[in-house]
Amino acid sequence: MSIEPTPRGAPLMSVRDLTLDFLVGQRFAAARRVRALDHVSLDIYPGEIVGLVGESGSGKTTLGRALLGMIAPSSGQIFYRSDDLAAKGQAGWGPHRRDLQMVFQDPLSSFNPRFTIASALALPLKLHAICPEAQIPATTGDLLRRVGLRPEFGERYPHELSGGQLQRVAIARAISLKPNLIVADEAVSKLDVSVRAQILNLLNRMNRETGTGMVFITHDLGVARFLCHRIAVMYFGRIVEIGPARELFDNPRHPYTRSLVQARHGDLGAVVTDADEATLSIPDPAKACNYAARCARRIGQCLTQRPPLEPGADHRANACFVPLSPGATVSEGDPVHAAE
Amino acid sequence: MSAPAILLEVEDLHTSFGIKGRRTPAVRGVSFMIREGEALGLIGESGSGKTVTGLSLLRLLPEHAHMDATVLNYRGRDVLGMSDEAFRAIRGVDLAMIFQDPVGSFNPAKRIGWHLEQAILRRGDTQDWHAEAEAILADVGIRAPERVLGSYPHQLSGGMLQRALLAMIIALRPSLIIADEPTTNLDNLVERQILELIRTHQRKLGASVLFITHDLAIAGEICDRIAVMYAGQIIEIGPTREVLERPKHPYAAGLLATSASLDRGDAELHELPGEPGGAIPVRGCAFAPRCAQAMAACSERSPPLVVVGPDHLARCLLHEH
Repeated sequence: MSIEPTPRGAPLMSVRDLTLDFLVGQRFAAARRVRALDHVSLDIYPGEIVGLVGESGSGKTTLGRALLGMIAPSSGQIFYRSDDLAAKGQAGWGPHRRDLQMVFQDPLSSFNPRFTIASALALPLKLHAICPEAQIPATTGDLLRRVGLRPEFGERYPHELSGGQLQRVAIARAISLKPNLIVADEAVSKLDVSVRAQILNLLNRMNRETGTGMVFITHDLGVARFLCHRIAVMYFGRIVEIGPARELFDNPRHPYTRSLVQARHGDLGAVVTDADEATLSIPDPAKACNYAARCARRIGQCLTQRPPLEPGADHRANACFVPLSPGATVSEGDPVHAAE
Repeated sequence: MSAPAILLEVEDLHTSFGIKGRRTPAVRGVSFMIREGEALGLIGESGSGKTVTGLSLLRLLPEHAHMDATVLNYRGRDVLGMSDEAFRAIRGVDLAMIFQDPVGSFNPAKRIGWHLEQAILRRGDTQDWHAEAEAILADVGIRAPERVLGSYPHQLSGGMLQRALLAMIIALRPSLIIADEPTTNLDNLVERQILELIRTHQRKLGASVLFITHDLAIAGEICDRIAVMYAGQIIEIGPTREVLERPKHPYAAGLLATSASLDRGDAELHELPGEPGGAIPVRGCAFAPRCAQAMAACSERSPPLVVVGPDHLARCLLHEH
């Protein structure tokens, strides 16, 4: 589990002030700008598993895709080692494709239905000349064994495998190129409970054995705590809290992180209801804290100023003017319906 | 104190898909009952038959499905022999269903207000549907009911839509709500809110709930009793605390150990070997190939449900005496 809670050395990938806007509704009406990522900065160290946790619309998937150059940011920098990739556009990622791999949520749609598993696995090996042509069958067989499948699975087609088996193949394909970083987007959320545990154990073992770093995108804080060294909690395009997984989970500082932890614990009564932003007068939403409308700890400053992500001395950072004090328990009695 | 009356009684329910001679069984002899005001959880992984069980009860199966049971009584009335027309009068009013995807439960061309109007007027005891609709929407945590009434389904988020659907169901005042994974597509926080709403309104209405889910933890919070399904059969059923604290079937015990190891933050998660949804063996226990405690007899004969505790049954030869 958390083998290396403290990041060391130079980061493998760094993101600085990354902002990404989508234009929506341009067909019939004036285009509306939706900010998916809002000045995000993040370092990912070699061999580290960083969890991106948040609800849908929080920007976690967009950040993962931006890291792999699958979507161009509006502004900001993305460094791989010291190479500024975003500055070069799509071409920036070219030389690093082999080092940066991806595992998707739905494994069935990430395989060509007409390729057998063995040929799907052979393709990247050929493309990047990983091994001599003659050794490809042995290599694919070995890859399948490493993810817990018999080599005979290579003869089958994607539709003949279950979701869990196919996700194992997707992991085999991602590690076949010995990448430095794998971005896994909700890679276990569609799997059955018993299969999910198997895949999580497999990812954990792969990380320990190969030292491959990972950006693990999930909406489940409990899963992130198990697998990740550090967790970044995202809310509406911003990182609101980041820190070592276990500490962040046991001792959340941002009120949003705490409500996620509570949701996980099944503390039904303590969860805030949806606040209606119309009932709250915020002079300029762009200058207020995104979470203010739902926040039980809100003070005046939260409505006029956006809290920056302030790094502390203990590898933790949170973007909140009134963070929860260290040692405060999750059952601390706050007026949870204050937003009403 | 006598127990509340039995609302729904199912005995030996079989549902299969396909044409004659080549049928694939999905539900293989499921029996249970739900008392008035009780919440029963139906837990299982994909292919366990939990959803098909719910659809069978409401006659919502596709055409190529076959369903049979020895007993299917609702309020003591035989539902099995009831005509489709007679059954439709109960379904959607007295028997309501919440699906995983709320979008499919709304007409995309009509506003939310229209849907609530239909639900409230169908009950037939009120004229002022609008005031009641606003009150119910406020009751399910919607703070701007007027705006929501004027919205089309696509204008609302998944969580809002699930609330609006819940409002429709509350308006109908059903006796039994069948909820099939109603929160699976929602974010954790919204999921909690919806669960809380289902629980409070179930109690307020005095309705019974059949709560279908893959998540044992969620079922544990909502349900009075839990039935765990595997390969089309109930393999364990009992009061929630009994099942969660003293699971007797190795499959139920394995699922619980897995989620407990995640909650504790173990370095290695407890694993059940193999995957659900495999072929069902002709003889013996369907779980035997994945079971660490399987004996020779497990592949020889199908285990019966045996009593393992107070009101607690498990389908496992280990507990047969």
